Amino acid sequence: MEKTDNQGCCSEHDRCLEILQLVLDGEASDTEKEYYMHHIEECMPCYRNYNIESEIRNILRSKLEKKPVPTDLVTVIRSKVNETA
Amino acid sequence: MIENEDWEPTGQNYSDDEDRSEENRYTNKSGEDDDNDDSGDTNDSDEDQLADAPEGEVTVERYSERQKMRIFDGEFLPHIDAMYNFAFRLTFDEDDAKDLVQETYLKAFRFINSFEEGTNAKAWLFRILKNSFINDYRKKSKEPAKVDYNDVESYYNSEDAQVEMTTDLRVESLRDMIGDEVSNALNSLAVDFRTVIILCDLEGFTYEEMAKILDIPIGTVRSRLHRARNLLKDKLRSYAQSMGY
Repeated sequence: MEKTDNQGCCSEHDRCLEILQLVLDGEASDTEKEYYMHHIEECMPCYRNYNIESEIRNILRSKLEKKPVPTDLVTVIRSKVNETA
Repeated sequence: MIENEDWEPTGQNYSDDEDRSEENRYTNKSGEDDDNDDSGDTNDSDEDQLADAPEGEVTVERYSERQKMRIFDGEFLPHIDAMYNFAFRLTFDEDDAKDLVQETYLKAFRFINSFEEGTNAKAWLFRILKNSFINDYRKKSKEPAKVDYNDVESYYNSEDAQVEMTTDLRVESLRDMIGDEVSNALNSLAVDFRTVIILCDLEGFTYEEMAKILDIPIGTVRSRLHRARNLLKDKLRSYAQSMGY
């Protein structure tokens, strides 16, 4: 983990970054996914990227506070809809 | 699609016919809306966008009043939580978010005949909300209307940026962040970038659904998302640094 420079470690860094997005967004093809998951077993920079990118998605999902819907909103909408219906 | 050019700061438009025809899936049954007498609504362009079916087709009253209410209650209202949160993350204001959601639902009801029961109601509603936001709120928001995409793009496409991007942000520092920091990082992004992150990461829409919601080709969804994530990572990195990581 002490090595932080990743130039030269991965010959296809840009391509990897691109596939990583697809993998994490559930948009990668099976081939791409297979390639990537295999690749990160032997490429430290890409492995680290994978962890960081997944964690960013995790914290977005888990740490962002959800606003409660104002209690009267549904009532107001429903009554306005009934007026027009 | 006039307003669409307004919305799309890169000036990009449909690059191929595939995207165009795909997009019609949400609106294919609508024609001229039969409700033009609603004088309270000044947003013709938005309605055009919603009802952009091939010319000559006339809206059929495909649903009875009872069916309409059933669809509205059963397929539209269950998404109110996601809708309100999306609206709030766009407007940063509770009252504006409320108005935006209300307006969206009223429009959805008015155009319910162009909605095909059982199809993706959430994506359809998000599309209406996004269009209403552009028409009504974005104009008066203090946010700068345009991001200089060229700057952003060339920066993030440069080798240096890519390398820098992937170093020194650690998983542990991300885990230690509090909600406010994550929220501030997201909120600091320009609205177009913020939107794609919300749609993808918070709401779980697919690229294809996002393309329809935003009226942009899938390729643009991908590149915008990529840029948005890099910008977000930048922000998170500076929080991490200020935390002493």
